[in-house]
Amino acid sequence: MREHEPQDDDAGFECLADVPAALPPPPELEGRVIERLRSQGLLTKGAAIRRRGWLLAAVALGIFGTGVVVGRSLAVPGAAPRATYGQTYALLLYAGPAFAAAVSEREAERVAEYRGWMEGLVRQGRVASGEKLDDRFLLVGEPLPEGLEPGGLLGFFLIEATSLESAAQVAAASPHVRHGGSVEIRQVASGR
Amino acid sequence: VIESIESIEAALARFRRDRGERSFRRLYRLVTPRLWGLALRLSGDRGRAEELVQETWLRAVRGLGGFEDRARFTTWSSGILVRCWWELRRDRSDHHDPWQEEEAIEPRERRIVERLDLERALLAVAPGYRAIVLLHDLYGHTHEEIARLLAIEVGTSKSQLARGRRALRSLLEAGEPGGSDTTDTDTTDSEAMA
Repeated sequence: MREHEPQDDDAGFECLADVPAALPPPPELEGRVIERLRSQGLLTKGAAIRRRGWLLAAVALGIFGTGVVVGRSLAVPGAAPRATYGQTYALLLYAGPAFAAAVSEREAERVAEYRGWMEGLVRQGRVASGEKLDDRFLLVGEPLPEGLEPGGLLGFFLIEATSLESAAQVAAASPHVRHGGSVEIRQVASGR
Repeated sequence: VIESIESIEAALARFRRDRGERSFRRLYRLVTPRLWGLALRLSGDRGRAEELVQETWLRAVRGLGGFEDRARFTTWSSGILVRCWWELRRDRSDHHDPWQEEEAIEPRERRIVERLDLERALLAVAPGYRAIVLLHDLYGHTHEEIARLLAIEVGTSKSQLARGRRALRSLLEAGEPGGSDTTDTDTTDSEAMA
């Protein structure tokens, strides 16, 4: 039979070369599929709750930008000069599964909490810089390792400390940890 | 923008972590166009294609624990779809032989692609051959995968691919596949394939 076959078996069939494999499905199908999965208990509602928490977390972290400006240019009274601690550390702030974002009516309270903590760091001469990250993200390359959610990093600080442990103590006292968030502390390699 | 750039693997990893509706929608939108193309071409019928895609997602989400990362999710999910289709055919008592031409048995299948000769020709090829040609030549499955999916021998997949291609080619050369049983064509269906 093979001698009658005009082409290599592994090659594609030339007739189908220009045929698109994907076709646009009917728009209403998505809702039907989701309804069916929901009715079977195959979708959790966790995502909706998390999304709300996510938004509020971003609002709460709006303090990042303003706080740093305060530290840099308003010269908080009593601020110590920089670089008395020797090393620069990055505090990476994640929402994490236990992070409780501020409910909307207490947002101002939460912002004040972060502000108070940051001003304390500025007075100690610890804050070098910090940024809140926007919640939009793109992911390219390989998927993240299990347990890391794309977009899970909310923001970061660069602070001055004498050791990794000392930086960890600073992080542990942050309102972010108090509210169930996670902070990863890493030394900036160039400061070694 | 995120949906169009995020890889299927990243969307899948996210959905596996939270099993949430939002994550599922991202994954669904990345994978379904391909499933839909396959379902429509295998079944030739929009209603049946919808059933197939729904059933495929149901089984895929249920069976996600059994999905191994070494496999591609598109391959795995289209495999589920093919098995659903194969089961559906087997359960219908009037379609015993998948290698048998079905000139007049499924006239509805031909309605949807009236103006596209190639798609029409595909639907005029016996279902078994059609599945193999589609899976191998359009959806990139290997003979080993096809053999597993359709519960046939690898050698059968190879030989039937050659036959399916010949059948398709001769239908295309004849120019008028499947006769003219398209009198009550639903034009919206045929446009949907374009």
